[in-house]
Amino acid sequence: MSGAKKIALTDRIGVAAIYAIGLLSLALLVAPSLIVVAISFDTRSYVSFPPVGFTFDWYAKLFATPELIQAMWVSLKVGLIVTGMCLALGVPTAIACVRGRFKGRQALSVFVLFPHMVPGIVLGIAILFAGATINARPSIGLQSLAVACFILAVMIRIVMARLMRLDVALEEASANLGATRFQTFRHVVLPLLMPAIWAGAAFTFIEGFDNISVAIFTHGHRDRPLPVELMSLVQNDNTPMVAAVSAAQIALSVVILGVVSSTLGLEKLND
Amino acid sequence: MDGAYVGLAPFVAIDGLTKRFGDHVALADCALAIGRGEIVTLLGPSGCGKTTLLRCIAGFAEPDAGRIAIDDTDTLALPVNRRPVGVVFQNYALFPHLTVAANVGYGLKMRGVAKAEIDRRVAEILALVSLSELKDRYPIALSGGQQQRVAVARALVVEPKLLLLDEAFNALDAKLRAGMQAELRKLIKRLGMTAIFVTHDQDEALAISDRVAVMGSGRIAQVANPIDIYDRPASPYVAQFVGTSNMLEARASGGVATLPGGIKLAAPISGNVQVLVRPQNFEILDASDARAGWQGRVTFGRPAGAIVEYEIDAADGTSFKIAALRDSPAGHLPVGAKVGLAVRDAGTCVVFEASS
Amino acid sequence: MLDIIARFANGRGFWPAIPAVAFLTVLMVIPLVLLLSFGFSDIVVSRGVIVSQDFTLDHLTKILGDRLYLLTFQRSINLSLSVTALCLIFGFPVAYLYLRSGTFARRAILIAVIAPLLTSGIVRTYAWIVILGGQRGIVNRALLDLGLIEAPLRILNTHWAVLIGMTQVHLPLMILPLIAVMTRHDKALDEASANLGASRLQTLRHVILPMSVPGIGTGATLVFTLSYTTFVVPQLLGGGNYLNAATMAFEQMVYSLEWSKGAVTSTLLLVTCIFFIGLFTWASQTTTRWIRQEGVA
Repeated sequence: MSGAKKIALTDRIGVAAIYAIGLLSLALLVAPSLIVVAISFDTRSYVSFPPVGFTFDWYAKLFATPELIQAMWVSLKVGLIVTGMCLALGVPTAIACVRGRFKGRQALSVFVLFPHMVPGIVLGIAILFAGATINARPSIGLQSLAVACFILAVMIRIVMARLMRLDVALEEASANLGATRFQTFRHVVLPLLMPAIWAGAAFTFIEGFDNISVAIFTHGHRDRPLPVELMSLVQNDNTPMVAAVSAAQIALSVVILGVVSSTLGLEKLND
Repeated sequence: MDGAYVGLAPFVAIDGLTKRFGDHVALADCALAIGRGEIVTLLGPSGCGKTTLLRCIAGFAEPDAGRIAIDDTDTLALPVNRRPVGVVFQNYALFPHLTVAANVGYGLKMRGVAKAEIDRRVAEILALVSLSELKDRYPIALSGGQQQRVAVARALVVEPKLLLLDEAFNALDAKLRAGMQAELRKLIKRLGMTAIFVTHDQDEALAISDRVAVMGSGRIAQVANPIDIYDRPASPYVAQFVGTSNMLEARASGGVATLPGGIKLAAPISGNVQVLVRPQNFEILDASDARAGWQGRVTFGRPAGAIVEYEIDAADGTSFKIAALRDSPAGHLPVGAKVGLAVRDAGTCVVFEASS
Repeated sequence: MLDIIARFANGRGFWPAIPAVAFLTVLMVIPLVLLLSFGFSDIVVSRGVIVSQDFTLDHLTKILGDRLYLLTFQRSINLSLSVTALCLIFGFPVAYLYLRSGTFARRAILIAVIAPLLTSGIVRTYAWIVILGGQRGIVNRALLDLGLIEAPLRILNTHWAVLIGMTQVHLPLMILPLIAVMTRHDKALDEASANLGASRLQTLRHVILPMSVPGIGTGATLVFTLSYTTFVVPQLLGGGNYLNAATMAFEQMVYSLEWSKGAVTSTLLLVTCIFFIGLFTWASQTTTRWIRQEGVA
C-alpha cells in the first residue's frame, strides 16, 4: 500500500519536474524576442530592461538611416529572387523525384537534397572561390544564386512531402476524364500542391532575406544585405535602434508564420 | 462454351492479355468478350490480377502482350486520356479542391465543351443520381454513398463506351452496400451502359452482374452467369472461392463416383476425384440413421438469419460445413451433439479430378 | 524523333529535374571541388579575383601540424556536443509537454517553437546580449537586486554566453523532430502502457523515450551541424575572443584575407561535419535497431 503511494509520489514529482523544465524552455524560447520588442520602444539611449518610457523614436531613426533602408531593399530583392528561383527549380524537381519513372530516381533525390548537409559557411566560401576564378565578383546576383543553392533542398523537401501524400488516383482520374498531362498538372496537381508551395515560398523568402552564413561571403560590397548590416550594427551600436531593427524582423517572421500556418498548417509542416 | 459471350462481334474484346511486373506474372494470357450493355464482374482475391486487368483497359498500365478492342477500335493504341472508358476509382478519387459540380464537369471542361453546355449536362446527370442539391458542396462534406454517386456521375457525364468500377462499394458500410448495388445496377441498365466491376466480394459479384469472371493467379478461371458460377464451378478453385464448399474425396470408375451413404454421381473421369457439396445440400440425421453416409459431432454452431451454420467433424477427421434451416428439427443442435450426415441431392454435386 | 518528344513530354521522366541538377552542379559541385583544390594550392588573389593557382601541399601540411587548428577544432566539437546535449535536456520536456497537451496548448507550443525558427539568428543572439550583457544586463541586475552577488558577473564575451545563446538559438531544431516522432505513434500506446499498470515515468522511460530515438538522432544531427558551423553566435556573444572553427574560417576569409588557409579550414569543416552527420545517423539507427531487437530500453 505504502509502496504504491511512494511510486505515485515519485511519479508525480518526476513528471512535475519534466513539465517545469518544458515550461522553462518555452519561456526561454519566447522571452528574448519579447524583451527585444519591449526595448525597441524605450526612451533611454542605452539598452536596458525593463524599459522606462514609450517612444517610436528608434523606429523613426531606423527609417532615417539610409544604409539600413538600402540593406532592407537588398534583402527584399534577394528574398524575392531566391523564392522565384527555388519555385522554378524546386517544384519540377520534386515532381520528378516523386512521380518519375526512371532509373536513378533515388540517386536524384539524394543529390538534390545533399546541399542540406553542406554548412552555409562552407558553401558561401566555395561559391566565393568559384566566383573569383571566373571573375564573378560578389553581388546581389551572386548572393541570390548562392542562397538559393543553399535553401533549394528545403523547397524540394516540402513539395515532395506533400506530393507523396497526394493520391496518384487523382491524377489517373484526371487523365481518364480526358485531361492531357499538362491539364492534369494545371487543374489537379498544382492546386493541391499550393499549400506546400506557399509554405516553401515563405521559408525560402525568409532564408533569402535573413541568411548570413552564405550571404556574408557573396554579397556585393555596395549592396550589403540586412543581416550583414545588422551583424555589424549589433557589434558596434548599443542604442535601442538595434532593437527596433530586430523588432521589425520579428514582425516579419510573425507574418511569415501566419502565412505558413494558414496554408500548410503548422502541424503538417513538421512531418 | 458455357458462359462464354454468345452473339455478334463482342463490344469489348480482350485477347491474350499478358502483364509482368519483374518476375511476377500479373496477367497471363487473359481473354474476355463482353456484349454491348452487359455488366461483367472480375472477381478474385487480392493479387489475382483483376485490378491490373482493369488498369490495362483504362490505360494506367501497359500490357506486355495482347489486344483490347472496344467497339471494334484498338484501345491499346489510344493514350490514356483518349480512351472511351470511364473509371469509378476505389476511393472515388474525387478532386478535393473542386465542388461536386466542378468534379462532375471536369471531363467536359478538359474536352473544351462550352460553359453553358457543361452546366446543362452536369445538372442533367446530377439529377439522374439525385445530387442536384449538393452541387456546390466539396467532396469532404459528402457521405460515402454521396461520394460514390458523384464518382459515377463524373465518369458517366463524358459518355464513355465502357464503365469500369474498381471496388466501388468497398468504402461503404455493409448496410448501405446492398441498396447501392441494386441502385447502381438499375442505373447502368437504364442507360444501356456496358460495365466491368472489379471486386473481391462474391456477394457483390453475384448481386450486380450479368456474368462473373472469376480470376486467380493472373488467369481467368471461369466466366459464367452468377448462378452457373455457384452451381457449376469449372474448377475446385472457383468452387472454393465462390460460396462455402465441402470438397469430399471419392473414387470414380466406369463413369460413376460413389460417395459414402451410397450416393452415386456421374463422373466423366476415373480414379481419385473431388466432389463439391454445398452446405445446404446436406441432410442432418440421427446418428443411428441408416441413410447417413457419415457420423460426426457438432463442433461449432452459428445462427445466421434464417439458417444455422454448423461445423461438424466426422469420425475420419473430415470437417464439414453444413447449413440447416433454423426452424427445422436440426436447427438447434448443441455443440457436441452426435449426428449423421447424408447428401440430399446428387444432381447438385460437382465432380472434379483430384488435384494431386 | 517523335518517340523522343513523346518520351520527353510524358511527365514521368528525368527532364523536370534537369534545371535543378544543372544549377546545383554549377553552384555546389564545382565550387566544392574548387574549394578542395585550393586547399592543395597556393593562390594569388588580386582585387577579389584569383589570378594564379599553383599546386602545393604547404598550406595543408602547415595547418595539419598546427596546434592552434587542433585546439580550435577540438573546442568546436566540445562546444557543439555540449549544445546538443543541452538542447536535448531542455527540448525533450517540451516535446513531452506537447504530447500530453490538448489541441489549443499544442498549437501554442508549436507557435512558440516555430516562430523563433523564422526569426533571424542575429536578432535572437542580440537578445542575449541584452539579457547577459554587462552591469545593465537582466541577469546581473536580478542577481544584484537579490543580493546573490556583489559585483556583476562577467558572462557576456565568455564561453558560457556562447553556450547559452547557441542552445537557445538551436533549441527548436531539437524539439520539432522530437514532436514529429512522438506524435507519429498512437496515443493509445501511451494509454495501453498506463492501463498495464505503468506509471507515467515508467511509460516515459519504456515507451516514449525508446520511440523518440530517431527524433533525437535527427534533432541532434541538426543542432550539432549548425552549432559546429555557425560563426554568428561566437562572434556576437564571444566578443571576438571565442574562436571556433567556423569563426576561424570566417576571419581568414573576411578579415585577414588568407584565402588559402580559409580553403583548408572550410574543407576540414565540411569533412568533419559530414563525418559527424554520418556518426549521428549511424548511432541513431543502431540504437533503434537494438531497441527493436531487445524489446527493452
